[in-house]
Amino acid sequence: MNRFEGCPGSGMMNFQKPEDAQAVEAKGKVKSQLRQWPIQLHLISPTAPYYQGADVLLTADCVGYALGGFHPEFLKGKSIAIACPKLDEGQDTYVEKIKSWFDDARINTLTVLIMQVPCCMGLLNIAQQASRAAKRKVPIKSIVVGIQGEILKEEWAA
Amino acid sequence: MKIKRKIIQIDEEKCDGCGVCVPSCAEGALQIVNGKVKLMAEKYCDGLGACLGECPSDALKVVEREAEDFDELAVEEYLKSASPANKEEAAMACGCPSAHIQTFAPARSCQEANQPVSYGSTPSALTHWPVQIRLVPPTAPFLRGADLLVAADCTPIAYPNFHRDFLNGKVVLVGCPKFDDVQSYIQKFAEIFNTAGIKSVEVVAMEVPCCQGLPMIVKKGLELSGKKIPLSQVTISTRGEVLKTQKLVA
Amino acid sequence: METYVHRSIKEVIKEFPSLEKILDEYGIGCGPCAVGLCLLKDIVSIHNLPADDEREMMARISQVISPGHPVQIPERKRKEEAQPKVLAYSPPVKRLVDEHVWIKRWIARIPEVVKTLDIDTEEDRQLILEGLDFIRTYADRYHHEKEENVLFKFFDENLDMIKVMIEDHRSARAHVRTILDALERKDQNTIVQHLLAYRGLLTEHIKREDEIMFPWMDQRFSLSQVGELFSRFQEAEEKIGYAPQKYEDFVLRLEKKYQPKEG
Repeated sequence: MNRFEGCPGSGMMNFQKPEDAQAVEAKGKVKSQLRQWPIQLHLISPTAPYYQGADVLLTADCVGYALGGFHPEFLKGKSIAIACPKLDEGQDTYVEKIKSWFDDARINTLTVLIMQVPCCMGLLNIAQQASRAAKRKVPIKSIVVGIQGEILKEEWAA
Repeated sequence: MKIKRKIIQIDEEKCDGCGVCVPSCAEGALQIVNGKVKLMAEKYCDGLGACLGECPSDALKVVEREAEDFDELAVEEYLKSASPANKEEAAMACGCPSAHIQTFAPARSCQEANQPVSYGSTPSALTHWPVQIRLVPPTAPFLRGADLLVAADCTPIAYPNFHRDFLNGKVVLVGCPKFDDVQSYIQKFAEIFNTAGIKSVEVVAMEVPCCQGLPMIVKKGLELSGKKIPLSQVTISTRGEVLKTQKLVA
Repeated sequence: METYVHRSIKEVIKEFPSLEKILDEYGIGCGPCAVGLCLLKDIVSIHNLPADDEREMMARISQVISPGHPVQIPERKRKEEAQPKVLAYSPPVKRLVDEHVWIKRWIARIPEVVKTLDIDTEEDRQLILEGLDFIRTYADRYHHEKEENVLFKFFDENLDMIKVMIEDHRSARAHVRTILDALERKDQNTIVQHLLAYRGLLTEHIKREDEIMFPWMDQRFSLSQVGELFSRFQEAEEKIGYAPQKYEDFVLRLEKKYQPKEG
């Protein structure tokens, strides 16, 4: 572990485990569970067909790099949007888009998937803000992923 | 069948091809062709005018005139079959078909939908933090003598076996060539190549045109550093297949 | 041992009475349950004991059921385990649990109400009518109907557990009919008797739902089903003109009347 520089989101960590050098073995072709494009929250239209009545996954950019089984374990059966609550510009449209998911696209559920670093919590806050502003309510689940790919927390968010 | 109805009208004089209106159309009816936005077919426009709010040049207007009626089924077919690789490359990142809406996977079967899945059954190949290019200093210890993977933000979402096929055994730096500051990235890569003793570089990017900025950034950074490091590039389709692998520098 | 985990707890305890005490030590109070139809394996999984406790308990049960089979009672170790995912009730189920709280608050006041009840006074007859309105509208129309018309439909209605719950709802309705009838005749004894019986019935019923049935169901719902359940509840409430304020106010008034010192 190396020293943190200010925000733990930027704090350097190197946790190479020698015994895990071959942690990921070849297993065969895995089918992609992605069924849409675009995926960036900046680019998506909240009322696109694949969001209508869908189970939506709102994911922080880095999560795909931390989770080995992202496709089968999280993406499967869902529509997605990715964003970075720390580095993205123009986030004022984010709340509006999520609100539109609730009210216009009438999504079924929203799962917010974020990293354990504090800056990532902003994504959950944006989702909750949108939920408060929306007329239609939807169950929201939050899942927090550790840097080494473990699930640290999974709970229903208000 | 032609009827009198509301439909979008584009003033090509005012339109500067910025492409901001493109993603706002849920039907994907607007696309940038030859640097200007075009209505791909009258039947794809439902006259709603969701795109109006997006245009910074006031080039869009909803008018009432004789036009082909809106055809929802045709829109579904269109969205299913359209693929950005077939479209003309936009000269600028802004008109990039990366924003073009696509749906393509077959619906999952009911039986599969509720299969229990346990978390963590596939191990992660990540060995460091942070991963964002902007947040990693060139002096980061984990960069020393590494085999570097430079990945566009969207790639692990599009490609299902990212950890096994790309990340395994590598150090990854992540960014978005469309939205992030290109110049600062080029500088940073130049510094990294200069000081960290990188052994090799592989760039993974999406097929969409604006993503091709990423290998360009890395190549420029390499040129600036003056070092000789093997550099290769992999292009991923939105459907999660490897389209192309090429050596950029031997 | 393998066959026993698939048997109903009533049967298993009947054959091995000492199991009741063992289960009780781990906070599993199945012994006194009148129904006792839950399978042993389901009981263990519902109660979601910490891994060590579960292993130890199963080992002890094993020893009782199959004595002579060498069984290792695991060493209890204190360890820092990564918090397993702990899910509270899902949002739609939580809505039902929150409604339970209001129902429990009303029935908690029943002993005081019946103690001072004078059926000959208009005021007290009115009180009974309001209490019945709470039961018929809030508890039955608002709450039980969501359970019967939406929640239970997600499962096989032949499940013993669901049949028991529906039976409870029917018994509750029968008590209400009896009280209404007794009110007409100003039959104070019958009113008191059935209000108290209603209280006993609902207390047990709610406990079983909150502690057993709801967690059991939540464990089985997929994310998609939670969303579907949530939106069907919203639809059901809109359809019947869900307006809980009046009934919540009734409970608050009662609490003020009978517990003026509190709060």
